[in-house]
Amino acid sequence: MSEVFVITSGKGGVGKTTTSANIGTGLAIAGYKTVMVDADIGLRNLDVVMGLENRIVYHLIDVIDGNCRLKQALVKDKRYSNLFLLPAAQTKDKNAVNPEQMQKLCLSLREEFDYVLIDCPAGIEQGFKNAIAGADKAIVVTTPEVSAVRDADRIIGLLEAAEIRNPMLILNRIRPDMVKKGNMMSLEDVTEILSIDILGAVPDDESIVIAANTGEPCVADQNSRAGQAFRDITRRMLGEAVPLADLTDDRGLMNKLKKIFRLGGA
Amino acid sequence: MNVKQPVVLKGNRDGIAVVLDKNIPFEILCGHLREKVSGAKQFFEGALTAVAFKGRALTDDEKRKMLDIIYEETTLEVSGVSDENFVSAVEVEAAEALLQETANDERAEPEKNETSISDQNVVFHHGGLRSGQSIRHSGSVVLVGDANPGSEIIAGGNVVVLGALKGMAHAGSGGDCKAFISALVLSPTQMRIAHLFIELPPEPKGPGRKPVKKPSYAYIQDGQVFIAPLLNN
Repeated sequence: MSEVFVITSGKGGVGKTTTSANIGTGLAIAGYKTVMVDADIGLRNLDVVMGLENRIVYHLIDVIDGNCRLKQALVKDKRYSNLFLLPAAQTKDKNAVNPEQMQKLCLSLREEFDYVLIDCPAGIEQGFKNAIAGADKAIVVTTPEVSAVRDADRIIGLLEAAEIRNPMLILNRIRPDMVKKGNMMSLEDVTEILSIDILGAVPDDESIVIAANTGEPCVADQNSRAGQAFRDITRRMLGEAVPLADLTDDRGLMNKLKKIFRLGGA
Repeated sequence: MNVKQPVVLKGNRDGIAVVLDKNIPFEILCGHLREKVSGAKQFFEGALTAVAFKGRALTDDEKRKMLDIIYEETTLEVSGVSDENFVSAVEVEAAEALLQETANDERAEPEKNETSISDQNVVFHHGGLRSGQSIRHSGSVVLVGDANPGSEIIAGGNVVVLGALKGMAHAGSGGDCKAFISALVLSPTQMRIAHLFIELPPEPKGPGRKPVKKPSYAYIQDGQVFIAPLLNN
């Protein structure tokens, strides 16, 4: 019983690829055979974030055009043997694929894997239509910005029109300190507009940037707050009831000082 | 009933009326119906609505044949069939199709009445509108749900939102100055009545500082726009 998820957002730069990489890794750590499909043809990124760019031989277009077998194009992750990546072509563009071909591809991946994650490109054009064609569930990523939420709303409408019901929301790059001061939309503000189920909230965290640079998704980093959020998200996807964590950062300078004084006073 | 075309699809608040010419043989009529509904296929997609046959008496058998054509050509789900009136929800896709039809139909012009409104040309839409979605209708629109930022409601008559209006709303798009816009939370990104563009007083911006949520309505009087609360207190 395999599931095909598309990870989408409408707006660019909100963290679709990072989310795909982390959820993919998280599911693999949990023991599920997982494949991540980079549907961002012409602007591939997922391989870089996963640190697998130097292992790519064939890509998605090669598979669709019949230049290679599916298994030849799948890149095995360097850390987890049950995690695979189907990279995008860098030299082609979105029009090199059509939705029917993506559906067929997803069907063959479904036979091999427990989870298929499709990293959708930004926008609502051909690339988006391709990416959602073979998916049965969707994860919408947004950030607490008005423009990102507006685009997410549009995407949810388009997903519903494409009969992908009940998409789940990941609110990325939240800054609890700013929310507290009223300078950033809170989780409640966002869910009030989008009115869909929340899968998780990920704090803005340096470890994400570091992870992208080193090609090691932070979901495996036990000290990363964003990693913890992605671990929770993975568990929720697997059906566990994990409460939303309090994202307040207690490691700031002021908090450290407070702790020291509290200890001193005791 | 003077119908120039042999088959006319017409929308009213109850669903879709299929108006048939009584002087044309049934078989030919079937062909016209097929053409008509397949042309409006995408509007009907997955919509649930009721269908009424008008303009000619049909036997049960003939009715079934006509329904079969609708089923074959579209994914429309018919919730009920009648020769006369019945009530059912009209989905927005169907409503948009109806608008296209009624737009060409002089008889479907919104009535311009005084204080009490007996406008039969109303579309009810259940469920909210998301960014990029729109309802266009030659009559009035009642939306049961929120209209999110980036959505559009364009009505020849009035706009009533039983929820929060945060998108764009245009009432009286045909120039009807008596049209009004009303919502449980009236905070549209843009609002127009007839030819007037309405600028709302600036709201407290930013999260955490929510605007006061009061059911209100906007209307034109003496060329000026007024926004009044629907309830006192």
